[in-house]
Amino acid sequence: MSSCLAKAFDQLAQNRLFEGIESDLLEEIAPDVHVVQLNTGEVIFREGDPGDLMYLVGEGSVKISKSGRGGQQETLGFIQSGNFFGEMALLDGEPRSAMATAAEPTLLGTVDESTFQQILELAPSRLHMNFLRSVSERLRSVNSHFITEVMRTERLSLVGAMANSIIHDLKNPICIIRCCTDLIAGESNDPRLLELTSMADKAVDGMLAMTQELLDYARGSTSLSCETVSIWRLLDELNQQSLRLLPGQNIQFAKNIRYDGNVVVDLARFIRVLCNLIKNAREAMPSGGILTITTDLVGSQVVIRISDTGVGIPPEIVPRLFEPFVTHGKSHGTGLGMAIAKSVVTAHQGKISVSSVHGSGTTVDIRLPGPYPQL
Amino acid sequence: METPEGSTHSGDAEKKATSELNNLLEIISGTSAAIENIWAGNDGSEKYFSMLRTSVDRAAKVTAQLVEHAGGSDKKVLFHPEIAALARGRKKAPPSTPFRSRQLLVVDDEPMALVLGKRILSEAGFEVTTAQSGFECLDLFRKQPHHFDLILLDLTMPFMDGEETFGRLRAIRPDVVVLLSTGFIAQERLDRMLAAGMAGFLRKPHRPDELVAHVRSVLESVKMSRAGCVVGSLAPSH
Repeated sequence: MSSCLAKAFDQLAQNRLFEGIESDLLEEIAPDVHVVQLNTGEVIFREGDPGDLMYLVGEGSVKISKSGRGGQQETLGFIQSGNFFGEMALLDGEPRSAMATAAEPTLLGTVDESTFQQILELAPSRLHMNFLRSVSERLRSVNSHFITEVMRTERLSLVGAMANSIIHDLKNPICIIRCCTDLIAGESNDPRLLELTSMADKAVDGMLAMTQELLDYARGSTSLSCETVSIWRLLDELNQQSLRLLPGQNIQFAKNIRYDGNVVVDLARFIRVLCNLIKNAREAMPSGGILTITTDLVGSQVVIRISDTGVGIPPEIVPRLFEPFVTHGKSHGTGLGMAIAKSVVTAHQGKISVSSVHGSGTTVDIRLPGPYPQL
Repeated sequence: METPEGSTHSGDAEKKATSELNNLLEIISGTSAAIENIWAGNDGSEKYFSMLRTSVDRAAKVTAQLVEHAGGSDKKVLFHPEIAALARGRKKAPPSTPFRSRQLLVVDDEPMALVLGKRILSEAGFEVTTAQSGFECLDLFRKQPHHFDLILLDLTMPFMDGEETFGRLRAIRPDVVVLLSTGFIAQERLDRMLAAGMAGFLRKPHRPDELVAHVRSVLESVKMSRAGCVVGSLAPSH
């Protein structure tokens, strides 16, 4: 046991903190350094814990992580053997700003505040140098990590912006093509020609739908311009854009309005999502059926529900429905509709979910944050 | 279009959308050329057609940018090195006077593309058979492996794509002549398929006359190659 300890102290004496410090000084403080042996995954401290110790890594390595977006732990870095960590809390007395976990079987030496002060007094200049050097190195690596991260995000948004302008450029020529084929179709009675122009028209429609969806998709959650509108306004927009197509297809419309207050939405984009869902519902009922729109207030959330009595979605498709290009039962879908629906609803701080019974219908639920109390 | 291996990356969305846009543009390009051919027209009709051509070209330039942006091959046309060498060696494409009509198999999951492809290539004097999937293509090919002189193959098809279809065609007949026609392909994948013995690649959209010219050129090169103008045949280079 004692030889084991001696070996541990030898390893800890090699720590960068002690570089250039006389060995007799080290022997003096050795009894105050406590040796701890940890297994992989063992937590050394958590974010927010009070900080009263600093740690020397004798063997193994330690992962430093911080809870990021959505509460997930994001790794900031690893402290290798021969280095130290946790000194910040000893200096400023603040709680731990990150979490430390043993990344492998690890041997640590712990130093408490008074021992730390003692070391500082015994070898002030040398220790200060070691300390400063190590801390500035760490700062440098965090900085470069941060810069890379910033540049990556910048580049991504640049890519999005470029795709945007390219897609915009497509719309003009496509619209001119549409005009030309319309003109040609209008001036001829030749059935062969009409067949060809209707084919070109279909392709133009496909391109327009594809560019619009690609645009929505590239835009993602950015540039939402929200306004407060009533449920009635929402239904009126839907009526103009999509509901009026229903009767012609032998589809009955039912409404179930249990909430008729306000919602805060980017009207144009939210309506496109709803229209898309209604279109899906329509296509799921080729021989007619009932489309129901329900609005309700559940807890503090506004629920908008669109359900159909159509063919339903096979259970194996349902979990992957929101991935781009997972489409079902459509030969000409762009495959982006549900992915866009999800990104738009998420941008509204809402949730979207689908439940479907194969053969008897599909229900899509959109939940939005509830309205502020009306003044 | 169903895609069994759904993708989650926006980059993939861009690739597939680009491919689809080029496919649609190909249809517009083909139909407008066909309309021009049969429309007696009236005064000023030429105006429509030149507007159509310009618009298709402009849209094609934009989609070419999209292809580049999504990391696809920037080549418009690329042939197997041997085919390319033979094509360069010919002063001028000889007037095509085949002993028998050449048999083509056009494979595409988009019915409109098949209607057009058949129309364009039949008018140019080829005998054209069409298949709506890799499965149908293999079924037809297996029955008469030596019937078809060239297969014009789409890449993006559901459940079995052009690359897999190509591999299976080669397993049936190693010297099968395949010309890939697609709106989007990564350079790496294209290189891999050419190295495996694919005759060439055309990026959609192409004008009908370009399509016919490339098909003729490949068939001519293959004929020269088989007549022994160059040692070896379209064998995999590795």
